[in-house]
Amino acid sequence: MRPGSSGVAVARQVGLMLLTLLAISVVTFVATNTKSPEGIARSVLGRTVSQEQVAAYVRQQGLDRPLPQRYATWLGDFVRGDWGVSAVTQRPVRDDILPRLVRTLILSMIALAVAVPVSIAVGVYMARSAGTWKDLSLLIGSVVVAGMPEFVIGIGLLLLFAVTLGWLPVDSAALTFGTPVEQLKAYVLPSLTLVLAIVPYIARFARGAAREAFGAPYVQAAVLRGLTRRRVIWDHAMRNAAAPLVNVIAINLLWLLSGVIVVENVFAFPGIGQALVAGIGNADTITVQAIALVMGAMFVAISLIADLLVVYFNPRLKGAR
Amino acid sequence: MTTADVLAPVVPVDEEARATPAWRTVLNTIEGRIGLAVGALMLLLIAFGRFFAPYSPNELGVGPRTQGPSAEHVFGTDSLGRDVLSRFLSGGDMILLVPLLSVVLAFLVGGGLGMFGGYRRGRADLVITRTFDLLLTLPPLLIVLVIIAGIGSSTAVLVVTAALVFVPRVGRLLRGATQAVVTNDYVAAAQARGERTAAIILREVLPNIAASAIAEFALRLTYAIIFVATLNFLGLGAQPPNPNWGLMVAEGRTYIAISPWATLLPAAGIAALSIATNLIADALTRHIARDTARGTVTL
Amino acid sequence: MTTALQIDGLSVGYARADGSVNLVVKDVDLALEPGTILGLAGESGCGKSTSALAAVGYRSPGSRIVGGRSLLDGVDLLALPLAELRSLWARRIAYVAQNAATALNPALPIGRQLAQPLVRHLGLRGEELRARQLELLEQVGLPDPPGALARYPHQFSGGQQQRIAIAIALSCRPRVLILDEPTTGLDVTTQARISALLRTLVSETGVATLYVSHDLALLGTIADRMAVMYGGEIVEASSARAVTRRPRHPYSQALLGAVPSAHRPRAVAGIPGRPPSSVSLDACAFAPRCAHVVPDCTLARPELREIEADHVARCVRAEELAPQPNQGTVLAARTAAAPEPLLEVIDVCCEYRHRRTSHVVVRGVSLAVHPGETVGVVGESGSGKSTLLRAIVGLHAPSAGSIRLRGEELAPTAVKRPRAVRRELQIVFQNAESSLNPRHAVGDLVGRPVRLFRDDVARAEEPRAVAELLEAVKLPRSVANRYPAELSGGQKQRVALARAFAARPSLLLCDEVTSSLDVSVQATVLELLAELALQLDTAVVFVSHDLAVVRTIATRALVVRDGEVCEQGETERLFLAPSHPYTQELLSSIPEPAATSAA
Repeated sequence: MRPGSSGVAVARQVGLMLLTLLAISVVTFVATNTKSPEGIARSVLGRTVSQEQVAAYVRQQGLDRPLPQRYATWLGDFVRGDWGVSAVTQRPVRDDILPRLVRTLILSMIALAVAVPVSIAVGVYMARSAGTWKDLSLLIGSVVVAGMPEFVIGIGLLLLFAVTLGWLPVDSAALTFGTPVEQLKAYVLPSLTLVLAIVPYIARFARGAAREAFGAPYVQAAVLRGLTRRRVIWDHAMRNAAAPLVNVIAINLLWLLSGVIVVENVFAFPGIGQALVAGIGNADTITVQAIALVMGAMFVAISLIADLLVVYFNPRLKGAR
Repeated sequence: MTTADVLAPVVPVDEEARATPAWRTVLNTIEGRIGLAVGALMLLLIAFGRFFAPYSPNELGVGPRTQGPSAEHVFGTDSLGRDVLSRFLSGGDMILLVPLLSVVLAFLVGGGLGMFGGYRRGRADLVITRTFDLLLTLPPLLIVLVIIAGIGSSTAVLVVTAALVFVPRVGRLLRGATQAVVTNDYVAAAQARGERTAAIILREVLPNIAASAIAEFALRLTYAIIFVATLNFLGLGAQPPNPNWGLMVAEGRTYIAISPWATLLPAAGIAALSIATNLIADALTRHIARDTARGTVTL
Repeated sequence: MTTALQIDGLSVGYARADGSVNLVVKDVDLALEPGTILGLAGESGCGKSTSALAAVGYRSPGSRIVGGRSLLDGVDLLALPLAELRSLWARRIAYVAQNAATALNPALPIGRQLAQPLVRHLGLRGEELRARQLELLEQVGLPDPPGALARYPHQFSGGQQQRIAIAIALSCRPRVLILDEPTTGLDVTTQARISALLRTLVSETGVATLYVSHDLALLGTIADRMAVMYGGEIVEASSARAVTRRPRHPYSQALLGAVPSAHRPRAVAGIPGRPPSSVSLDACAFAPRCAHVVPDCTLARPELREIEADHVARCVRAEELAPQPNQGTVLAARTAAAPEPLLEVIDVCCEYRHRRTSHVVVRGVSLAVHPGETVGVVGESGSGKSTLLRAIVGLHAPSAGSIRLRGEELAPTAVKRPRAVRRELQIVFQNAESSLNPRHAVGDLVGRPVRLFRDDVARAEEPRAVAELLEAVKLPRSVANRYPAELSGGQKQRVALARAFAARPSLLLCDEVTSSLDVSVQATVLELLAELALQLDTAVVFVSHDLAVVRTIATRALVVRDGEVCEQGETERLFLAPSHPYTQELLSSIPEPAATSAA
């Protein structure tokens, strides 16, 4: 393994990620600032306001400067920790977002920690019983669940567990006001929804990767060397399935972060996803910009980790030969 | 036995090698049949349901507010006293139309670019691929939300932004399929005959990627339906008082315990549609995988 | 000397969807003695690989052992449960699969793969383990054994990967070694080295070896005994010398007659028809294709009888027929008619660009082809011969030099050349799977050049022209409505030939056109090619890695290495008295099937 080439590959990945983050920030800023300076001022101050007040606000907020300059200022502030003050709540955006970010991260981590092992286990199980009715029914089941939008899964779970059975709360109000036990219960349905949204994809892929690996010639060769079944499956077959599997998990991870936005809205979960949508509804552009950039950074960080993992698992990419 | 007989035997038909056309496979598998049946049902419902609505979908106060099922209102009423069933029967068209348009647009633009890049290779391909890669790194829902936040939502915005999300994905897939085909010698043979690029893409390449393209279309349509429905649910698509199913789900969610059908009916409608397309896409994809292994991919 | 592996009456089938069994191997008897190599010869589909794998006790998905025993030192492998088989595999009986590259796990370093059987079966650890690993790698001739242990399979060449696979197989000093086409797909010189290595290892370790191969010439040189399979049965068995020099079964005779030789000018004779897809239970399997068939042959399945001492054959007429390989008609009889060259390649260089680097594959090659002659271009893989062909036909623009047709300079890409030029130069590719568009019917494929280039054929007459072409390549007219997937490899390549000749070219470029075909099919295609080229007065440039084939068909030949021409001249002179060391090396690497009409 030549360390030089791995280092170059890593540096390239990091560079690409930063570029992406930059792109996200540009899109965000441009999209949220399509109105003229006066328009922005009016949407903040309200309708019944005089021309002078509008002009004063524009000067004060620096809205009369050219767009690239405003972008640079905004980005600079953000990196230094100043995320602006929301025109709607009149509070610093950062104070509102950080606790929400924590909750969203906890939710995502729980969902991931449950979804990945379950998916792989289900996928390998399906591969081993390929062709039987067990496999077929799981296949059709996965197609059905994968075909449903996350919010439908959420609504369905809500109706079943909260409304009909009453075991779990109908919304996530407990997170703000409830006891620790109630808080824990409030995490269940949203994370379950996310898990159900991802498992069909990863399990399906794991099944395909496992089947392909099982049928590979080196697996036959390994069997003919008298190695045990367990060693053949995990050491030989799944090892080769690992790289593409990590790739798929990474893609689904990004998708999970999108799904979080939806799920939070179904359950009124006080995370950044809900704040984002609420912010859009309230035309709270400062908050929307900040959340978009935070989420963008999360996406990029996870992509980077996933890409590095893929390289780790694939000896060919380690730059040898 | 003469030499002629021996040299020119009857060519036995290899039954296994005759490929099954795609539509036949869809009908052959359980999932394909269910998908087609449900899909057809939903299509009829969306197209003609409005003519069977007992009440006007947007008329306020035709019944008591937020009430569960009753004799006059089979699926109950919503918070503004509107009949849930009537709204449901009238609100499905955008849930299907917008995704359909966006996927068609994505195929025309993304597919065209992908095929061109996959065939030509070289500089053109590099530019196209890099663009796709950059677009793919952007998280879809986030970007679309932000764009809608800025520009506002309308049917056109939804169609174009959704298409934008899908262009790189469709483009990448069709590029890959084109590349796989282009390595074959029959493309080289056509080039050696001096045939032109357009002719080669149409005559030699397209028939061989058509099957994958159709499977991808079905799959993409599934994602598009889910995506657009989600946007509507988040309030970023159609606006009230439109009886759009996604919007209905969001509106009904607040009183789900009292009049559950206000949420459940449109949610089930969306799910039925996307599950149907997913089943069809799955049947097609498995057909392709099996035939690729056998070497007999056909439309 | 006790027999290490005794296979008695092995019969194997595949389960069909309706539960019945499709028999593919019937009544195979083989005996492997320590320190000797038994060659199992046959073409694709004859059941040799299936027999080898079944004999080891491995049950492939869908396969059924219908009968027989496989006795390893008296223990029947076919009757053992999987757990016991696992303890025997690699330890007492080892199997090396066909394609080493795929038999090695790409995700594990080879040291680990080598260690696994040693740890499992012999319990070696630490220093002892490492010592044994290094010893094995040295034994198979791998350079830098300590460094090799940490490397991954893709970091080795094809030949080296095969050596590693052999090392793994021999690691636990098994009694029996089964090799399934171990050198197929490797370069000629590599093949020679690996075969020599195997021969040495077998003598040194005393392992009883079964060597499955389609290459009769090769088996003739390294095997002690030989058995020939056809249609799932053994049709002949004896010492290797006896089978290759005095074959008794019509199929062996025909097969040996189809093998081209690099060491003497011989014609090849193809075997018409197709091999059967399943075992025939009530008639001779070879009867439909046999030149010596009589009514008795179809009455009952012939028994494997002793024709002379230690020589069995499955044929009712074995004693009557002359024990010699079939003779074909000499193919390479054409010489140049006119002194004016038809095609001139002058100092052509070709390269491949990838990002910043360029890789030169053809360096200053010059050659001339005269009307009506057949020129062979010989080289191993990577020598640039295919690229040269593609440059001539306009698929790859040369970076230097020029190509002239009848003195006129040709544009670098086909699309810029005038139609008349494109008509005159036609190319046939190696792999018919890939050169025929699976979505076009055969009639469309052959008809396209007719539409584009044949001014003498009106639209309405095209179907007739297509039918004539199909007949010329000995295919029935009805094939025009079929799709390529429904045809066999040989039939597909004939369609490709028909397509090439459809334009009535003056020069036909053949890129390894018979390399993917079985020997007997190859012979048929070569016969066809020679016949059509003669009939239509078409010059041919025939590229191949197989010297024997080139010798059979070409009047002049070039030897290419690393993009340069080492030697060129009249085929006979080149092969009888090669002057360039590379040519000499190539020739000495090729095994020679036992002399034919030596008697």
